[in-house]
Amino acid sequence: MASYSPSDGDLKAVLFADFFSDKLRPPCTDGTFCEALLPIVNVSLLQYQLEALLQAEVKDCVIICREHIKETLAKFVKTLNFDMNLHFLTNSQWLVAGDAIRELDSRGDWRPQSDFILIFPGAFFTFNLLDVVKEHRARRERSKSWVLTSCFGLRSISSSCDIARLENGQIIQYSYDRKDKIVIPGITTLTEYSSRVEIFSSLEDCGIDICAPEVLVEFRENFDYDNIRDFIRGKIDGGEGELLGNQIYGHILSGSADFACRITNMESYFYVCFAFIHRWSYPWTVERFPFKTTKYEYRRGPKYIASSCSLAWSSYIGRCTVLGENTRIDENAVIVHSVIGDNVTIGPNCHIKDSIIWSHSILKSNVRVVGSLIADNVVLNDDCEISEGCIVDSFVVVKAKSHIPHHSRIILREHPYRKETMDERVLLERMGSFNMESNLFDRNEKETTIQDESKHHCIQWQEETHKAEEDDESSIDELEEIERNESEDIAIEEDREAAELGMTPDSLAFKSSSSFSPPTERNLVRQEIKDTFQRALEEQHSPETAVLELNALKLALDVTSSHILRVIFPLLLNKLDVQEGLTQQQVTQQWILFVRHWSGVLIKFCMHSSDGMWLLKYWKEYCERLPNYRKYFSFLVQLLYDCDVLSEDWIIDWVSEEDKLNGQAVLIQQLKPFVDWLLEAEETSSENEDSISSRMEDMNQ
Amino acid sequence: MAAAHCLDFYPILFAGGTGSRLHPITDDLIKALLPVGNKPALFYSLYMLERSGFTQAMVVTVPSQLAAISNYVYEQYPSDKLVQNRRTSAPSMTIHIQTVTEGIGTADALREMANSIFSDFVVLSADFIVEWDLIGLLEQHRTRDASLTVVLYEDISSKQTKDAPKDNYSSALEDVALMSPVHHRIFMLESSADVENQISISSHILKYNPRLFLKRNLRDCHLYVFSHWVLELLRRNVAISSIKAELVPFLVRRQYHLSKRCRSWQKLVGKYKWNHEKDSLDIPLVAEYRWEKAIHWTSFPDIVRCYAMILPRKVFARRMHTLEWYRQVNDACLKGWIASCSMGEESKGGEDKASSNKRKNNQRLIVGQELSCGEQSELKDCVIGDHCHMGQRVKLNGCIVMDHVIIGDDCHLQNCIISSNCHILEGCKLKHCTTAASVTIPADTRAKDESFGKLQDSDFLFHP
Repeated sequence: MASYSPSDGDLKAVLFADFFSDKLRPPCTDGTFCEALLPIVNVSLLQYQLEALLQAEVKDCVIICREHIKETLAKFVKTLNFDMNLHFLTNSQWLVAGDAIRELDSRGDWRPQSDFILIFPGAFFTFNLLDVVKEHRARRERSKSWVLTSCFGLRSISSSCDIARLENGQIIQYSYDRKDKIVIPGITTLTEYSSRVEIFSSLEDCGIDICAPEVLVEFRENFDYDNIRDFIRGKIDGGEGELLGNQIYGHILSGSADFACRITNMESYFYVCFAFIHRWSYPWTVERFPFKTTKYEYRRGPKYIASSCSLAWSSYIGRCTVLGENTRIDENAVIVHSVIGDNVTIGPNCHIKDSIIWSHSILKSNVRVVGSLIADNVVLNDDCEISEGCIVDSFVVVKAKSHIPHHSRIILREHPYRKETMDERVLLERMGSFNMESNLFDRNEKETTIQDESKHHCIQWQEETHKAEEDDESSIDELEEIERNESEDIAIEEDREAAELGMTPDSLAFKSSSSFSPPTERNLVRQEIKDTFQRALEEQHSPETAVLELNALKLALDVTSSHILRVIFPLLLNKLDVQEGLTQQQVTQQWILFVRHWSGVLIKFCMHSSDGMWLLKYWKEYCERLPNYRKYFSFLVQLLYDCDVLSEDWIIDWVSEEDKLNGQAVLIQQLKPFVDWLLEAEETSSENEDSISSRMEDMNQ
Repeated sequence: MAAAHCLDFYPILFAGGTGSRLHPITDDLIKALLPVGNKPALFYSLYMLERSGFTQAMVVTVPSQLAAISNYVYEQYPSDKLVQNRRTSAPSMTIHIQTVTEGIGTADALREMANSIFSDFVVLSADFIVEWDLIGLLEQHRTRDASLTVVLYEDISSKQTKDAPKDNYSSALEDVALMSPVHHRIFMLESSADVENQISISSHILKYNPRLFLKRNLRDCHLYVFSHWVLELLRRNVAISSIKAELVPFLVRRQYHLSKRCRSWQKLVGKYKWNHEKDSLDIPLVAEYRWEKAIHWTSFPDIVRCYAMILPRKVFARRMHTLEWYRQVNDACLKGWIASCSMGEESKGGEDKASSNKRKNNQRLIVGQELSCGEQSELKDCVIGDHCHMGQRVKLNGCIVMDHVIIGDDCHLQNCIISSNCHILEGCKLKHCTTAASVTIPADTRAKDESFGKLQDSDFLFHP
């Protein structure tokens, strides 16, 4: 056994046993059961975590949980007899993980003095952390600034994140829940240190970190850090200096050899269970648990059957099945792709598929369970049918011949071990903060109560949509909301004010209305913009230069981009002329070249729908005034659309508005085929379209 | 046979560069004909093509250079020993010369001669010297079914000379590429001077390529393989004028990109009938314009595929577009890194009485014909052209001397580039100097880091 230099002291670990979230409830609704004890193939998650830490030669482990589950955990841990000093750090006041870390920092006796392992709630891993720790220590010896090593798995399961790291493994970008694209800032300075930046997307954030004690100090200073990822984000946002001071190493686990992922919701729970059965977690497998529990017999399929199981002669055990201790399977029962816990009785003619059943449940005859989770001590009476995506909480008794629809959750109103009786409303409120993204457990809209024959009252409870978001909204968000409303009000006022002045400002611009130039100066301002752009047109400046000039002017004169648009667009129109001798073809060719050339300028200053509307209106009036432009009306609109000056929404909106006013206008009729085409195009477009990049590209055409 | 394969690709060799950055040595000499190890640079490109098995090649030049280029290509190139050796065993390569309008961009040039290209094509530049076989590149292009394959090489030397002051300049010529590992599909290729401080990678790239890396220290060889349809794109998109600056970035950005209007293009086309009388689609004017844009992106989003090929580190590759790099290329010749600049001729022609007396074994030297060398002169790491005359006690170190140069007695030259017909009078001590052709440098000149232009009074100095 390798041992570290004595100065380092024993390796410590800090393990979160509390999820600080409700994503796994039910089944974990009551205080006596907590998420850390979720059974993964009949062995609880905490046991795996502790065992893995033991393999990494951890001597001390601090388990962090809230007060109400400490007792349960302590009782459980006592039964394990691990050769490890376990301490519980509890407090009922914590709301987020960051609070717990701050408390740990203030506790002189338990605060780790050297680098320690930090395990997030729900982290499930079977690889040996020792190598990672060794690497981390080697880095620390080289430079003190490598304060954190985070582990990332190659395929994302539940907590997908993207990172960018330098050649030396330092993380320079971390983003969680990417919607659109990765943005890596500060490339020019960062590439000074490394000739190569690696970008990984859709990595699994395994929630395993090797931290230096310095990280705890950061938490003391930053009260807004909710968890360790906020620390990473803070460092990255802090810019170059921060990144150099505290380097974060991203350890990419090998895809084939290291199994690690994080259970954060039901989907990932199911994933882990079946991955374990499928032996992805080698060297740990069901029949070879590192600890002595049930003895399983491994059969082809794979099937794992405990020796104390009793199987009826006519029962059928299909592939990927685990049968726990003392489980009884009766005649003609079919079990496929499921995990059955200890002491479960499965009656005759039962049909179980894609499901997980915890211990001590009883399934009477002819029960069908598909794709569901049945917690412990559940009784399913004769002829029950549990459809896909259901969760049945512990001690529920489902009466005979009942049919549970898709994606329902059934919990008890009165739990035998729960002290207070839960009011239906309170319960729903509590459950309301559910947030389950998995398609396995979609939400349904209605809620019903089933009165069972037995003495237990059950609530079959189906979630209401988006209740969570409303509940969770804090006062800060509300404040922001109010502010936003106010600012919108201001913008509207500004609009009105400007309309009176004859110019509509860009309501996107966040400049306050006080910075408006007085009307007497307005003509001067307009003249100056006009002169600048005229010069640019005559002296053949490049569009980029013109944009720069106009932007400078915009800042100097304190006007909005719409003001500039209102000056430059007429100038551009003046340049588009219809010469007598030329054919329509030649004219359009000229226009295409010209508009394409200057479209960059228009894009820069036509940013809001009001601008687009104005532009269309101006062009329409222009055509009405000058008859020989009329046949080009639709052409220029489409040209501007192609150059991405006008968005399709604006065109569609404008046309529909004009339609209302005067449906028979010739020019609008001319635009009709194009608008129809646009509407059609919208239907076929996919959501993946990246409008910004396409805009950029089109500018370059 | 390899030759049969290569017929699928048509090599186009751009030899029309003016070489303004190589001033003053390009004042009289065309960039493509600058001597590298006593052979014009064009030789290496042509020979590489010939050795790769091409049976046809096109050299593109401008009218003002046509005479010199065609003289070389038709008169001197076939008489080169290596070429003759090759042609005894393999069919000879037919070389066409095409002229394009002076002063236009490379993509414009392609557009001008689009009619004479009938297949996928390779574009390379005559100032690019590489000791490499193109077969691998073509195979890669074909197997990946790429629209564009870019050849890049890793710049190792910039690491070694990290503290050198010129690093700032040379790093501006570096490229930054965003590519996928293993297959080296590129999603961004920009010169590091142009790279913005922030890079954003859009989701559709990440969807297909979860792992990417961003690499610095790459240099673009200006050696590209294009699919034939790119010409069609050029024809329709008149705004593109340069391959490196516009066409390549355009194609690279177009990957996985399909705009809304193009996706519904097929729908649109279905509505209009083909008019046989007018031989055109009966679409309104505007739709016609749209059609031009949409034509390429109709069927499948993954239609543009750009790959990079990174040269192995052992392959020597340089573009000689600055003096510094011109020196490096010649240095590589001396070190024998470029095999096609074989010592064969040198050992025969240069084994004259004069040079042999002062040459030591470890001194690398490439000497042209009829070098006359005075007593006690020392030549070290030099490339010396034909018909040169050295005086007595001349010391040359790391110099490139072209043809018909006369160097007077007691001259000490270090790292200099002396163009043809120069006359360096007695007692000059020059360091890192460059001369234009036919310059006379007065006696006892002491100069460092200077370039001698082509003025009558040759002591008029350009400061680099």
